[in-house]
Amino acid sequence: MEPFLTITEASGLIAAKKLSPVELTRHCLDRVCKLDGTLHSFLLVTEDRALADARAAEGRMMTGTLKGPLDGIPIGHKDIYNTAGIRTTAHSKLLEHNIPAEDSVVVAKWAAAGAVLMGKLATHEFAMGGPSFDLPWPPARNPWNPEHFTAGSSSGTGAAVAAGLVLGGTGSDTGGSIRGPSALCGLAGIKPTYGLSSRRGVLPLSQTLDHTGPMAWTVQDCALLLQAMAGYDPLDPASADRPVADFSADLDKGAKGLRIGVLRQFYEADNPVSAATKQGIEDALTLFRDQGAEVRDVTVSPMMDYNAPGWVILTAEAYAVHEPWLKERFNDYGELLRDRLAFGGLLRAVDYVQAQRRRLALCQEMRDAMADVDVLITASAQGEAPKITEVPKWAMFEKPGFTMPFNLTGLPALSVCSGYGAGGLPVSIQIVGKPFAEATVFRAGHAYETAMGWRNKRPAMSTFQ
Amino acid sequence: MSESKFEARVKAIGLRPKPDDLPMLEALVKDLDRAAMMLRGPRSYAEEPLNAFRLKPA
Amino acid sequence: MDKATFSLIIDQTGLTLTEAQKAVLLSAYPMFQAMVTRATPPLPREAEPSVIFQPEVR
Repeated sequence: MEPFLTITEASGLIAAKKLSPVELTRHCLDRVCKLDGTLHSFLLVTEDRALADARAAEGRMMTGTLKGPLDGIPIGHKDIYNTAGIRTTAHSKLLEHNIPAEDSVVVAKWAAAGAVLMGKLATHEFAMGGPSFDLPWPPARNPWNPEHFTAGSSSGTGAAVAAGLVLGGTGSDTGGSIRGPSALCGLAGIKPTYGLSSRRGVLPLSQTLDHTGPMAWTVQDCALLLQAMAGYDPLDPASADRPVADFSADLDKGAKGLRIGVLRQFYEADNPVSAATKQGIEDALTLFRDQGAEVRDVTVSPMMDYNAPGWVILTAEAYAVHEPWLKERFNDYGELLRDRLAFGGLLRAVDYVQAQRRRLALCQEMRDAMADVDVLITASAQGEAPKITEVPKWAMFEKPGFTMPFNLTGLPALSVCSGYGAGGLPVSIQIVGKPFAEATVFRAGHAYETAMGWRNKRPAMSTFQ
Repeated sequence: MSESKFEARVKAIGLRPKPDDLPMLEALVKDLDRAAMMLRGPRSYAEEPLNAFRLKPA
Repeated sequence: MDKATFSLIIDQTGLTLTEAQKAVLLSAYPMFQAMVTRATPPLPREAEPSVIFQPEVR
């Protein structure tokens, strides 16, 4: 069979009874066996469960009762998503033997859609501390060059999807943890609007910044995965009580008529990006103009003005979650997370409240900046993936990140591969939409992705006979 | 007289109360610290805060 | 901030750190403080927080 299939392709073949879900799952398990010794993307492979899920999907395929586009599709879950009866560790010694009794809402939804659970994927410790080399399991490696960083914290999902070990996976995004690995591993990954997809049953990092979302090879696949995730959860206090849109409805409309705002200052002044990243953005803007979109620059406060309250809020909320463990088991954490979290104890209540007040003002500023546009375009990462041993411990203090502004403001934000730079490593663009306008974000991303040829290339180490 | 721990703590956050007010301030902070400790009961890490961040559609 | 004052505020958290661990944090503390300052500029008195309390109506 084809070494790489997208969810859309596999789903079509399954629906036409031209591809066996069991064969597809065995193919993915075989790839895990061959490649994951290098990539370390999985913390736990659930082979028996995967084959059972695949057989059930195959039964439905034969009787013409497939549940939908995810039925029979091998996926993985970031190991902060609770999975009933299956170890969920947050990649931490503290939860090394933790076995939840219940699935998280998203896990249950994908299972109900017929997705095949391949296993639990590596993450930065508790979705914040990485890359770390002092944890019970090694960090995931970038398939484009295993000496290099995947970004995080959805590091395992990034590696596993890029290498074709799974066709899609869950991530979470509190300051960039879906879009970062999507950018550095050459994927499509979306942080949806805050409240669109339930956080219940996912180990929290910072409750007012945490988002659940999908990662996949293509924008179209992301739309399918998000469709199966989204929806009101009355037991998640942040959950948006509104009907779920059809995220794929506008995919084929192209960019004609779209009004695109360019946050140029972010990637030219506030944190200048690599040459390949900048070229990718410029090429995207040219493409959009050629397709009939209206493109103009928009300006907001400097990117650090968005990052700073984001990190104050994140550190305070994360410290509150972790305080009991930090007091009793400080040295059981990896050094990176432990030290990053400790600063939360030094924040004053007034710092947190002021940061939340500042947050509202910045939400309003971003909303005003988007008044006459449909989407914003900017970078999702500064450049190509650095070596995994050269990631600064205090990166978040040193330079502003491109992703935090949209956690702070809660807007939907999609990272899309925009080419390959130094060392053949991927670069990316970020497409940001208005609240609950994921369909428009996907429309722009799909228009770009299908016009460029980047999806035809896979990491060299993952292509074998 | 060397600086007390409390005085050092007050100085560290940039406050400069009158010396005569320090004992009363220390007593008040002690009460607040005690109240804060009472909040640290057994609590699941999954327990949500009261206030939620919500977006309105554009 | 000097080592002794930093030690005081870290001890106040109730965390048990070695002197070496405190030194690591102290080295990054100026960057952390700069971020807090950037995050908390002066605001109009009436500026609301972004998280809201909504009592449930049953």
